[in-house]
Amino acid sequence: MTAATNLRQVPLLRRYLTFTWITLGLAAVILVLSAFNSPSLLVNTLVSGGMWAMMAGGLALVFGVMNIPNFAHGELFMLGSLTASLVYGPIRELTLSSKSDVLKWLGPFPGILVACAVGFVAGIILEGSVFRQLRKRSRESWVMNTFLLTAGVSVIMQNTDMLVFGNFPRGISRYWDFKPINILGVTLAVDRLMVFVIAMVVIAAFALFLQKTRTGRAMRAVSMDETGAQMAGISLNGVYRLTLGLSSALAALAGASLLWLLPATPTVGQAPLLVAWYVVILAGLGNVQGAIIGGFLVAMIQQFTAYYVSLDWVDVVPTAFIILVLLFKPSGLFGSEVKGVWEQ
Amino acid sequence: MTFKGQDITKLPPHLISQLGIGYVSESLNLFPAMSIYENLLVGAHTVKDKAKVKSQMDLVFELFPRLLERRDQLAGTMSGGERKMLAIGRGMMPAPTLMLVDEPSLGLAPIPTLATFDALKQLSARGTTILLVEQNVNTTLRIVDRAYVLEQGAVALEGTGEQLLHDSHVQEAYLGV
Repeated sequence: MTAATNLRQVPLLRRYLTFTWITLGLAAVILVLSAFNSPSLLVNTLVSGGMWAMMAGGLALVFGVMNIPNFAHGELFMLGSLTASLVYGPIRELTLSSKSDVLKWLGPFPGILVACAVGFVAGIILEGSVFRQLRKRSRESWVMNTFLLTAGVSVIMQNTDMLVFGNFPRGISRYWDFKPINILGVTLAVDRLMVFVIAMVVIAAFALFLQKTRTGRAMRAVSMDETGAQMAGISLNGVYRLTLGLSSALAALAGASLLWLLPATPTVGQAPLLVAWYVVILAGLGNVQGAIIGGFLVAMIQQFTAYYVSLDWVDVVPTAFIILVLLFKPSGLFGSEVKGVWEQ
Repeated sequence: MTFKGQDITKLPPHLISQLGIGYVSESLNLFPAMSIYENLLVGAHTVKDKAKVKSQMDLVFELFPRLLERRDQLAGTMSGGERKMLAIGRGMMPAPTLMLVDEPSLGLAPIPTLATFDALKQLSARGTTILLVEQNVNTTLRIVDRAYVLEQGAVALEGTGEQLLHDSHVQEAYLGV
């Protein structure tokens, strides 16, 4: 526990002159300056950052509340993109043949929403059939055991997908069949814009849910002290179910929203899983707020690397950056001694 | 083990607390990265009626004005005495009929200890039954209605606080008179 200091009494300057804020400030300055040079950098950072924030936010939530390093998170992304492609396929025929613009706008949403729901249910099943069973038996070396379990679940899900749906990509060229929009001199495909809007709305709703609602508070309470939460009459199993459901729904939503970029294949979730782990390690394990900001930071590093160096280096540079950060702040950018999914 | 005629031996913890048994543990189990206000709100998790949450919170703040002063401060940044107050306050939020309090004087300086006991006394005067486990014999016996002395797992003595305070065995073994 930290010394008894009231955060509000720390001078503003000292509060923000920390390693974390200096890093973030530098990133923001670089991003804004580069936007004059090439606006597409800013746009791409925001678009992919939103997706990484959604993936990493779910991963951080599960780790923060349940102490599970979820290596099957990528397969929930895959489940989302598969569901969306299966549902959207037939609907696409309908909307393409219709002349109505409204139908064309609404067409992609059933697929995305169904994917989200499937992800939610899959998460609840995963919790009930895997983690709950382990909890009943033993909580010894919990993190190691759940890591192995999720790695196993990941293999099973990938191979089941391959067995049932085959090993070929099910992709679409675009969700929204409209002319690209021009914003501040950047031509932006409607799909990119919509994905950004979806991410922003969902992240805002997710943050509000965690901060302001009774259930969100219960989740944060469980992440900080399970015994204390039980004393207050919170059902741990209920919170666990919801945690995994929500996290999986977020991953599936990301998978569905990115179907036009990453076609559904059995291993489509692997790359997003890795990025989500970069983000979570960079931000500090189990911190959702940090993971959301970290998502944008990693997206920025990737976009800059792809733009100024080469696409082959997009995994190298973020990893090097993470190593650098961990050298100076081993608990991650937003890590702290107090465990909780949402720091005040 | 029964409570109000219901067997609670095998009930999961969260259901026991919903029956009206509050518990303030020795280690407090507060939520360090939440404000005092939020800690209290979580304490009222099982209370659906918003007006009742509000009135219970007013009661907590009346009993512990200190908590009201620091309403938005994070629980993890408070002193030991304040944390103890918050733990008791959080236990009060669902208006339990029985409150179990485990060693409230643990790790506290004499003045905060007295303040904590005083608050418990007021709480019991307002109609909450309090079951207190303590090793601070002198102070405890002065505020309790009934006391039991446990020795090696069995009840060795029982009586009102006043009676035990003047009991020769208690004086010799625990008070060092």
